[in-house]
Amino acid sequence: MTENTVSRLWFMRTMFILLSVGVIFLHLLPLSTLPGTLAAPDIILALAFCWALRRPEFVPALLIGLVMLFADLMMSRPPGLFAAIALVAVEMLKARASQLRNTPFSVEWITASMAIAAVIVGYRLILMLLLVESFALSTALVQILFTILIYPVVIGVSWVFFGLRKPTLGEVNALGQRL
Amino acid sequence: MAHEPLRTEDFSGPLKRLILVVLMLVLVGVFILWRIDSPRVERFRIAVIDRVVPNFDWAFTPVTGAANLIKDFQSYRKIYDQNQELRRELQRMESWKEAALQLEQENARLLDLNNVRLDPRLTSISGNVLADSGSPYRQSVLINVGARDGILDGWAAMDGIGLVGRVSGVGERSSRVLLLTDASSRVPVTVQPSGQRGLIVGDNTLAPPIDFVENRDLIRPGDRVVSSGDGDVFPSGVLIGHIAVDTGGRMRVRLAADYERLEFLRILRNYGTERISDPGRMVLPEVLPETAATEAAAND
Repeated sequence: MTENTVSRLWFMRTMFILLSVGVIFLHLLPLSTLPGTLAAPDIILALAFCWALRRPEFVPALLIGLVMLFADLMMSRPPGLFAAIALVAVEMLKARASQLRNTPFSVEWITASMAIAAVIVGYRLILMLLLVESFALSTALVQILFTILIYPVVIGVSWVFFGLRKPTLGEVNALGQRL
Repeated sequence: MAHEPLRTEDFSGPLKRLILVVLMLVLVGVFILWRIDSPRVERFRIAVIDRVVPNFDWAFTPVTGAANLIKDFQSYRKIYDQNQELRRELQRMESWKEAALQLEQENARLLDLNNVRLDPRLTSISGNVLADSGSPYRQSVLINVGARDGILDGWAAMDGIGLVGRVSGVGERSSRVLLLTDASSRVPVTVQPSGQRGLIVGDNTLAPPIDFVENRDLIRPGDRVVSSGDGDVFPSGVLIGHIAVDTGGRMRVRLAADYERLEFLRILRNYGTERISDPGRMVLPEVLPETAATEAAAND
């Protein structure tokens, strides 16, 4: 379907940056300045997990770290913390991406869901421990739920628009290495 | 099997690990730095936002406009689905409500045009709302006026009618307004007509509770809440809202500003009030004769 060329690798990396910037841009739109318990899903996190599980080489650690740090800065979160936790989670998922290759989608979804919940809950716990002014628990739970629900959508969009799928047996990358 | 060819991964593996470790140290370091010296990192954040967001101004306005258009259309459809009779009834009510609201706003604007100033030294700069905080946990907006326009940290922001928040973070071309609804917002207020002092404590809801009131019994629902100017943070006498009691019996402030559509904000220039610290020199000599005499006696 799509060839694993070097240009495709860099195209996908650029697309990750562009998609993330687009998501941040949508978050910043002053559509609703009303406070509420509804929290938008963290699409950047879902995107990073999805790509890390399917094609780890498209989302290198440096890229994830910098994009997340930029998101932290733009979305008035404490800078660095969410990025660090998300980076740890992404690297852990990458480490077991090869094991998940032959499993059904439900297993992948559950793994990603646990990672999403762990990142957001861990982030909250650290903020609470360090006495940073934190937010309502219900908002965080809603955000976890929405992010888990948006995960299959992110996979679908990545597959339809960018042809992102699990590497098949014997597939090689641009340098001839096995994936 | 015995001579597996060398693969690039054998070399890139440790390098990747090194990058990862350095990256983690940098990220955690940034966070710890923020925790220790928050103002400096926040200044850096404002500088980054100031560099990035105004460049997207051209995109923000049409997209926001289009989204609002769709929102308006959806609400219209919702009304259309209802019973025709009820709808006509509702629209009549809406139009009256709209007329009343517009009259109220017009009144506020006319007062403004007539130069009915809250304080003779108070003037304002108007700014356009560029972006909101982007996070459900923080209630703030970004406006397109900044240090270039003479904005200073801590100035009050109003819409046409009531107080909206305060400037916290000023970039060259943009500045951030922390809304009254944010969990870290505290504003000293006076409740009229009883004159009770209190503090509005933001808690991420649209009606922030009023706290630290001396005598709650003197406050009734519907009382006007204006800023008191305590602590020299805000000019005094700016309308904030009206008292309401929630189901739990807690006093809350129904904000006068229209938080649903924050499009333009007025930033009130406020250089602080001068303090009167010396006794009136015109009336009294600098040292009173009695005290002078007693001091002389004490020296002897």
